[in-house]
Amino acid sequence: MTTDFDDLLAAFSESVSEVLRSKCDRRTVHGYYDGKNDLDAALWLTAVELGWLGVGVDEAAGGLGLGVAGLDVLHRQLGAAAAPGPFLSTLVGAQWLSRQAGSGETAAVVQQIVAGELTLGIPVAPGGAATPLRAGRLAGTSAPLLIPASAGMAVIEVENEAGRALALVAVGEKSARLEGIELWDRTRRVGRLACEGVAPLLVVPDADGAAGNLLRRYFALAVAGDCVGAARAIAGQTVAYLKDRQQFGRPLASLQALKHRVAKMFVAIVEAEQQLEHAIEAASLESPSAVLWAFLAKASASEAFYFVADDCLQLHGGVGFTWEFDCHIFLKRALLARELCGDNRAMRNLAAEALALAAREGRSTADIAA
Amino acid sequence: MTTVIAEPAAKQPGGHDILGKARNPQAFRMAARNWLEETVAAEKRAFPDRTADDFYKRQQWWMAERNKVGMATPHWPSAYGGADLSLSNQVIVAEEMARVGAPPMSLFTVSLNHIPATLIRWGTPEQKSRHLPGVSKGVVWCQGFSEPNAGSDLASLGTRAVRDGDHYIVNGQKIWSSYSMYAAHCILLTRTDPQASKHKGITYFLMDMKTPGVEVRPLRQVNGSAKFAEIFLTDVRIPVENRVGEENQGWTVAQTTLSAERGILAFDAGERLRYQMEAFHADALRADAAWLQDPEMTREFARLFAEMQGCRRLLRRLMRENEANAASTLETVVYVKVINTTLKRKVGDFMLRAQGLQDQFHLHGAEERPDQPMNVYITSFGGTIAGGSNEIMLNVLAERILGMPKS
Repeated sequence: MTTDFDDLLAAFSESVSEVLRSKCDRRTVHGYYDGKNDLDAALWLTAVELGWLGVGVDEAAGGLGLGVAGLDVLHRQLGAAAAPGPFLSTLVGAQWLSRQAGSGETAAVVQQIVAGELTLGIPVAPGGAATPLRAGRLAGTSAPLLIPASAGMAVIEVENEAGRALALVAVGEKSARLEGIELWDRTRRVGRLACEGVAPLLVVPDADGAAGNLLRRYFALAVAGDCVGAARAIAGQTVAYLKDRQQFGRPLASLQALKHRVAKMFVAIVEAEQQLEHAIEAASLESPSAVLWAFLAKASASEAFYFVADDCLQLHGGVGFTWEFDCHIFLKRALLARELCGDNRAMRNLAAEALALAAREGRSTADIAA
Repeated sequence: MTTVIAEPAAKQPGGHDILGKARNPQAFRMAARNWLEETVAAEKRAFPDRTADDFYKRQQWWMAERNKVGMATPHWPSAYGGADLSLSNQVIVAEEMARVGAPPMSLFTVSLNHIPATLIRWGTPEQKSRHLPGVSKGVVWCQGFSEPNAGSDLASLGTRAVRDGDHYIVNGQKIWSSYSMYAAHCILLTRTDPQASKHKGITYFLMDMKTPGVEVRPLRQVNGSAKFAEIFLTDVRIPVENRVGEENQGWTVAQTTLSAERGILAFDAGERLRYQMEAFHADALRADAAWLQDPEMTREFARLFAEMQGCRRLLRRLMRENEANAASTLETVVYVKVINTTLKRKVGDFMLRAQGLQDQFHLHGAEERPDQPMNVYITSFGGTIAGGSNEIMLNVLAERILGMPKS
């Protein structure tokens, strides 16, 4: 990776951060939580206008050309702002779709997404129950999807005679109705698709698990980025609170017991960030170990985020226990993040299998390029 | 201006031209690998038992082998007998040494790292020319910094040095001094001004360990091996020309010494852990070990493997920042210290649980085998305690990086 590229990333990160500070400040997020504004739609519009959605798309195709690393920057900033909106599922779905070769239709769908005309849903935890696909038509309700209310399409897991597959389905009132599920984390939207004979726009066979793994790889990286960004944000806020809050005639931040707790949060964050950077590198190089590192990074990042958000609530004391403070918003995002893309036991089981396979084949998975 | 004190580089016998390939990373790596594989095999033939008794001989043998191919001090500036080896090539050497399980630099840790870092920056021309060439010939140095009452709070050290004409007379006690029973020289911190604030009354010396009044008493570590010692100093006379830096400026000089630990030294340990974990896993798969059937254990291994990989990246970052004198270096030092040392403990504990009762059996000479799970685990406390205990590191992180006020 060149220094010029790092500079570009840093500049992009700073510009996203600045926009989110003004449009997605904590007060506005609380308002959205209470149903008083349409922050999700407003942010999406802003992202479209500023070209954020094309960050991973090649410059030749009208994007910013920053690849996996650029998307990571975006997800970290969205996580730091506890931003609502269809970002995770739409960007992950678009990345995956852009890799499904040989169909002009998919390219058109990706273009629609980058242009802001279309949002997507994807399975909350890929690898779960598949919807039956018989004679080219879907009948039955899908497993839970991470999906905005505005979604025009969704990628769902299906099963036909040939085995498992992934299908792109147009959401529609009659044939593929979106049934929303309320979450404790009100910044994210989950629902099921009730399919009654709808024909998918695209079916990607996944009997060997390769297509599903690619989707999960992108998903895992996106969630991990969101988590480390969020963990840094709420940990920083907690340090500021402890410096400010006076008890027994001195700031809480001067108490060594609390210093050590806060320091351990940052240690956990740095560990997760390093693992994520390694996963990003592996994905950028299309390393055979890219999936393995993405899963491990997701598990570490979401656990670090949970560890941080949990203790931040405690360290805020009574106010941390209230609806008005930010702690619960981050904590609930952390709790949901542990389940996104598959729970962390599943992530590590898959990684352990991949590690054992590589070791049996005499391949090392631990080389570092940079 | 630097004084050229290097002797002409020795011609390389055995057909191993490693440094000559320094411009081509792949060729350099392969040359280092060939030499290392050959030499490690020779070491195993020469010292089949690996006992505590032959530790010193093994280490000196290894240093002599390194010297034959110019690999004793290649990372030093050429003006001081090194080969100006680039950081990226130093990384290659460390990676390859870890890969073949070459003997660690243990006995020569201070000689190879702390001495050049300190003398090149602060030494007089006479000190440099007198001491630097000796390192590649196997001269062992030790560090006399910690005291029984000055551990994490090093600056409160009390060993007194009093000026007496062209000498200083030193009295006091040092402790936790690694390999000092083998050392010819010691870098020594003393208090010269007890009235000044604690950082400002310290003076730094180079001490000949054969000076009358120096007594070394080995201490055994938790694993039973005796690799560090106490040093008792009674009316030890050190010539003024052996002072490094000015009187009462020793704390500043000591910071340079300690910064040597931020380079290839820390990196080496991280690389070795990688191969230890990979070998442990491969051995388990070959033996169809019971823990592989326990998903909790395989998940834990996967988690630790990821932590190891993250730690190796952090160590690479530290080396780059250290090389560039980056402002963020202190922050990275703290994270590396805590993460790297804690990880070794976790990996050791994992290995012990995975192997079960069989690793409670103490095999003859086990304390000399660093890859034994019990050694990985129980010597890891050395890392979490030494160099500023991890508790102190968390204070530094909170106060100096996060800006939380002092207690």
